[in-house]
Amino acid sequence: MKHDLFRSLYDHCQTLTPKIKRNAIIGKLLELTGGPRIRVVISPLDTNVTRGFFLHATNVEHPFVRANGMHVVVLAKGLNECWERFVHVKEAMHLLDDDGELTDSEEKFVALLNDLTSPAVGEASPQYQADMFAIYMALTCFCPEASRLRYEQLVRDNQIDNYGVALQLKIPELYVPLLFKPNFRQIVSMLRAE
Amino acid sequence: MHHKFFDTFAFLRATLENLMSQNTELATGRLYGANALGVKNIKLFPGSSRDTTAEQIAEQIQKSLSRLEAGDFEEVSPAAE
Repeated sequence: MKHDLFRSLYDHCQTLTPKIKRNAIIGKLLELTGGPRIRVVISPLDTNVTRGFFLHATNVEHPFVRANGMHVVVLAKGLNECWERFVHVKEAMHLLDDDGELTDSEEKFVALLNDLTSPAVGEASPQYQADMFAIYMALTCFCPEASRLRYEQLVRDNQIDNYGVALQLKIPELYVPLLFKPNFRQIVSMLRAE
Repeated sequence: MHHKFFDTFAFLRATLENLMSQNTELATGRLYGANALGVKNIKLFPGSSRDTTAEQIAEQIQKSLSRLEAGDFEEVSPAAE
């Protein structure tokens, strides 16, 4: 991951207050990465299998690339607002993948699919790790640290539950518990390469 | 009898596996084959089922590419919150 760019994005998001608009995050991300145009579309996908994907295609002669550009994010049709925001921002984070994390060959693609579908034995592929890092990167952008600490205290005092936090952040409830895990700060430090 | 059933089962399973691996072949061909998209990166958001197979993901990607090529999509508004 391009840690230096993520640090800048993270610092920018610390200045925002939930509910944070996705374009407040992605606008900064595009500014940091030199602003490649990303086409974002909603199209049918079986959400049991996948809720969306990020595609960077480079063959400018190909009709698909001519029509859509080189960067496309596909979001599954029918996601609610929280899911759509979260999948969109998580997928856009892959603009920060470094060379070793790119899924730029058939072998790496197959390894990614296998890692996504079978419990990891031994080392997961860098492609799969980048997929998982992006979930945490999106979380840190939607929930600045000051907000996270406040919610953590409110949850501890039973003044709000995970669902209430999800509603305020407008992200899927499924990911709220990650914010309060003891290793959360450690993961953020790793993402920031501190 | 038992032997015959086993043969039929093995045949069906082999056919199914062959059909399924076709999805991965189709997807990788479209993404990385000669004169294909020239994919430099692709990443995925997990779905809700824990029992998803690699073949099912490959099938979704390749069907999705067909849908996009056929214009079966809506643009997300730049103003979407």
